[in-house]
Order: sequence, then C-alpha cells, then structure tokens
Amino acid sequence: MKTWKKMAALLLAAAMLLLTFAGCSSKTDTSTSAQTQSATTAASAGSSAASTGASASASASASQEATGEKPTIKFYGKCIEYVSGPMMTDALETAMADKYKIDSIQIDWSNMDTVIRTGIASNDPCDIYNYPASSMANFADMAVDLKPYLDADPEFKSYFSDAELQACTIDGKLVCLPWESNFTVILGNKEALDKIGVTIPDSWTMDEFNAACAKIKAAGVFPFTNATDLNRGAWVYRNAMLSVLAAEDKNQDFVDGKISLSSDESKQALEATKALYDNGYMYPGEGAVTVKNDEAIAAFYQGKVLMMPEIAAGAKQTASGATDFTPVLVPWPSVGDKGAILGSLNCLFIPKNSKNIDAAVEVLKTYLGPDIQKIHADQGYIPANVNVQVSDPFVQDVMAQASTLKAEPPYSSAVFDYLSNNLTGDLVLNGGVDTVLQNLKTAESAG
Amino acid sequence: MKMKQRTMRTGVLYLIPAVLFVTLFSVIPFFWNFVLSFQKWDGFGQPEAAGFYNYLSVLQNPLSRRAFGNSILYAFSSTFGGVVLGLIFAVLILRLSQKEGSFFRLILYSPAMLPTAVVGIMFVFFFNPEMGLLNNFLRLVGLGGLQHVWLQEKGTAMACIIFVAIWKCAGSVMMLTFAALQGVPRSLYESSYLDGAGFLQQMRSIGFPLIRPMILLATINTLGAQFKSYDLIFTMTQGGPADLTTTVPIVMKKTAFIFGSFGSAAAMGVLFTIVVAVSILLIRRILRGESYEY
Repeated sequence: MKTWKKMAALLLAAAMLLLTFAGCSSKTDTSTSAQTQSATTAASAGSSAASTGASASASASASQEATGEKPTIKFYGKCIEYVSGPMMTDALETAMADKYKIDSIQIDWSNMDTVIRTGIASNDPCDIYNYPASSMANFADMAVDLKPYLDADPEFKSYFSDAELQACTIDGKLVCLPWESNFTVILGNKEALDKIGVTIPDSWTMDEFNAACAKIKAAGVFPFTNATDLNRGAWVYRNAMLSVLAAEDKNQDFVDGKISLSSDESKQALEATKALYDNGYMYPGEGAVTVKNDEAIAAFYQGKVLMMPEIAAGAKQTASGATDFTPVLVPWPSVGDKGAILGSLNCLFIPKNSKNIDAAVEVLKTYLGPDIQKIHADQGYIPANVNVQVSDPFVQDVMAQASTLKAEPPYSSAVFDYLSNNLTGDLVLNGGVDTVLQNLKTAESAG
Repeated sequence: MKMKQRTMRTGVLYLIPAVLFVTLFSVIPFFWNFVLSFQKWDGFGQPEAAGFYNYLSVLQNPLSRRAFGNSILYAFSSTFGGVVLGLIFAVLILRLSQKEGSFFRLILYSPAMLPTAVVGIMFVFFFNPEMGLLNNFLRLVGLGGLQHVWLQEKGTAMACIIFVAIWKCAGSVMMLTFAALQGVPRSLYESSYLDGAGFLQQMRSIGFPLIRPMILLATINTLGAQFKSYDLIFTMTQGGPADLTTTVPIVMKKTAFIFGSFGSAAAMGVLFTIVVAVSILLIRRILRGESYEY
C-alpha cells in the first residue's frame, strides 16, 4: 500500500513537471493566445525579433509552400463594432481562399497597444495590424515600409489620395495604409431641438453653443454629453483646441510641433471645455466625467440628452437606432470664428517580423480594394479607397462635415493616454485648467 | 541513518517540481525584473543601460507618487477593515450552533468565492448614480440628500472601492480566525466565566491573544493580496476618474504596455516590492506577541 502511494505521488509529480514545460511552449495554433503571451516570455524572444524576422518570413512561407499547405495570414483587423466589419473579413477570407488561410482577429480597441506590443515582441506577431494613423509614431520603427510596394503597383497606389498617403508617412516611410477615414460629428435630436426653439446653424461659436445649451437646460433636459471611454474622453477639448488654432491660422504649426499642449491656445480650449461641465450642460450632470458611450447613446435615444458626439463612421448606425425622433447633424462649436474638427485614418500596417510580408501585402491590396471596401460603403461607412462611391444621403452629409477636418501632431503614448483617460477628470475634478496644463507638459516631456 | 537519508532523498525528489516551478515563475522573473529596472527598453530591439534613470523618473513622476499613495491607502484600509470585520464575524459565529454556524459561514464566505472582476462589475451597477441600487434605496427611504455619484467624486470613489474590497476579503479572514478560535480549549473560557468575565472580556483576554499568530497570518495574507489588487480597481473605475483611484499595478501596466517603457515599469515594481516588504514588517512589529501552547 505504501509503495503504491509512493508510485502514485511520483507519477503525479512527473505529470505536473511535464505540464509546467508544456505550458511554456511559444507555439500556439490560435492567434489570440499569441497576443496575450506574458511579458516575461515575450521580452526574452523580442530581443532577437529584428534579426530573425526577415529570415523567419522567408523560411515560413517556403516551408508551407513545400508541404502544399496554404500559408496562414493573421489579420488583426476585424472590427465587430461595425456592421460591415465581419462582412468585410468574410469577403476577404473568401477572396483569398485559394492562396491563403486568413485568420481574422477581432480588434480590442481598448488594449490595442498592449496586444500589438506583446505580439511583435513575442516574435510571432499578426501579419497585419489595425492602428490609427495619428499614433503610428509608436510603431513606425517596427512597421514595414510599404512605399516600394505601392511604387511598383500603380493600381494599388490609385486606391488612395495623396493626402491619405501623406498622413500615413513618417520620416519618408509609408508605414501603414488607410482603410477608413474617421472624424468626429455631433448628432442632434431634431424634434426636441425644434420644440425648444434651438435652430441648428451651419456653424456656431462656443458662445452661441453655450447660449443654446442654456436654453435646452432650462427646458429640463441635458444639452450635451461626451463619453469618456473608447478614447473619446478629450474630444471636446481636442476639437476646441483645433478651432482655437484655426482662428489664428496656426494648425500647421501645431502639426509641426511648434505649439505645445501647454500653450495659451490650449488654455483657451481647456477653459471652454470646462465651462460646459461647470454650467451643468453635460449629461448626466455630476456623473459626466465617467459616462460610458453605451450610456450616452441610451440617454440620447431616450431624449435625456439632445446632442451627442459620435465617430463619423458609426454615425449612421447610431442614428438608425433612434426610433422616436429624427437625428440630424450638428456642427461642432468653434472657440474662434473658424470651424475645425478632429479626424484621423484607421490604418493597417505590417510588422517587420511578420512571417509572410509579401503575402500580407497581397492581402492588404485585396482588403483595401474596391470590392471589399464597397461593402463598407454600402453599410453606411466611409472607406478610404477614393474609387469607392458612397450613395447613402445621410453618409454624404456626414462626409460633408469633413470640410473643416484638421490634423493633429502624432502624439506619444503618454500624451494620448492622458488626453483620452485623464484630461477630463483632472479638468473637472482634480485641480482644473492649471493642473491639466502642468500634466500635459509632463506627458509631452515624457514622450 | 540509512532510513533518514532515504526519507530525505524522497522528500527532495517530491520538492523538485515545486522548486522548479517557483524558480521559473517567481525567482528568475524577479531577478530579471531587477536587472531590467536598470535598463531602457521599449519591448523591441536591445535594452540599453540606464543606471538609476528609471528610479529617478518614477520618484519624480507625480502620477507614480500618487499611485504609491493610493496603493498604500487602499491596502491598509481594506486590510484593517477586512480583518476587523472578519474577526467580528468569527466571534459571532462562534456562539452559534453547528447548523446555524455552517449556514452563516457559507453566506459570509460567499463574497470571497466570487471572481473579483464579477464583483467589480456588480458594484459598478450598485453604485451607478441613476439606476444603481444604493441611490435608489436612499431615494426610497427619504434620504435622497445622501445620494452621490459614488465612483466619480473625489471623496467617495476610493472609499467605495475600499468598501467592496473589505466586503470581499472579510470572509477569508473569518474562516481562518474562526478555525483558530475553535482550537482554543473551552476550559479556559469556562474558568474565566467562573471568575466573572463576560463574553467580550473572554475574547479580549483569552480568545484574541491565543489566536494572535493566526490574526497575524490573516493580516499579512490580506495585505499582500490587497497591494497586488488590479482587477477590482480596473473593473470599477479603471483607475479614474482622472487618477483618483490609480494604483501602482495599473500604472505599471500602462507604463510597460502602453507607454512602452518596460525599464520604468520594472523600477516601479522593485520600489513597490520594497514598500510591500516594509509594510509586512511593520504589521509583524505591531502584531508581535507571544505564542502560547494550549
């Protein structure tokens, strides 16, 4: 009996030891687990990523071709928040079925940086990643330069405008390609605004906007809201900042890095933003600093708030959810006398240590081509492909708002994180304008 | 002698897998993290030596300092509350019969059995200013003036998270201290009763001193767990609003994976380890006392 127990204990110990080493394996057959490998294993592999990436790329493709197996392309670009997202990736998988096995992975917008960093550092990244062009400076060194590919393929290059390609170029390198143009718009409740006597102009200053908000507030509903999740926390400030600069014709200086976020212009924008919260115009009043996008949309549908910002790409989808009233587009208020709105491009890039760079470029061309991007347009979104026409009248109105689109400089991770997650809280609860200016200065110097 | 050697060999053999596991997943990462804290590395390419730069940047960064302060406040407050409440529960259950005691032990331990993320999401709804249970209850009983935006206001955000942490950890403390109290011989209580001691005096003079080692163990375990806490705070407030509830684990994760500054995050980890170690030594000093055999 004693011997039997000893044998059982030894076998158990051996099994546990084997499981320990099995758990350390870096080879996975699901892409999502590759993205969440711990920093410990990721870090030790990442130090050799740059040197082994290119050779791994060639050998991986060659070995798969030799065995007759279709190469797998991991595509971190499935946007389930859009109706068109799964449709586009399904179409991509079908279009490429003869040549490649496309593994479409859902984008985790809140954790994109973490997912991409650990993926690249683990030396087993996805072959294509989705990322906003405005923040590509964070990964510019790790992205494949796509300029030679586009120069060699005029048809592929013709998908994009010069301005779009310029926005995706850092230090002469084309680090990504756009699949969607995006900017901020405001949706309004037409019937309620008409009833209160607020006329929506073609453009309005912040003072005029505040006057309208006062009228709406007096009628017992909240005039405005701004979600603080999904990186939308500082939309009001960022739009205000761009309009302050537009009034002084300094937007290009801002993009060139000559005007900092702790400047007088920034102070003006912060004061204008704070006034909206201090005057009680932001839904739901005291909880305005932590309101989530789902809550804001629900309140908009219920008529508790009459105007809400939304991303242009999702404007039609949000508007179509309003069954009791007609949503209309409301221009962003400007701090000066010139309108300006925040915009960027959602892009796709290929990491340098991708195992299938050439194949990934081919997949990019198919995904960004007119056939698949037309699916996006037909569902009411705004594709970046200039050859795809949008026929929906509401979406055409949304696109018309982009006439005052202004660029921002490429923010570092520290600055972008502060803007998105901390600025509004510090502005309203934690010290006000001076605290925010100080923290922005610290974030800029840290970046 | 031969038997002793054989026993020792068998023991060592059984210990090898556990030692290997701890070495691979605790000891080596600890030392690797310490080395990384003296380097500058963004997760790609080769790390560069940075001397004490990371430590200086952590100590000079106001967000890091605030995070350390929040972590210490959260850990000590929730530990104190959890231990006190756990002891009270244990003492109350001690006086119940077997069946009633079992029932109440299950009820009071159930928060500890719930996944922390689920608890966090549950209490986000509980504290919601519009449709949350708390504000609606206050309104219902005529205390509408006491309503707050609990997870947003400066004075209440951290307090609410600490409340939830106490609610969650008190059950574990209760189980440990109840088991220890059950081990105290009844004869000691009976003889003190004959001398005129009431229940509270019995606990104060006999029960708690005799289970002091267990109280110390429960306090240290709880303190360590609360210092490490990430999931509860992240699900409830994500460290916000602004950085009012940001703790060191949240800042470390942000610094490493969003800002790409693994060296600074590692330095923060080393400094945090020192803070936790000093805190545990402090608790041992405060709760030091004699152990009794009975």
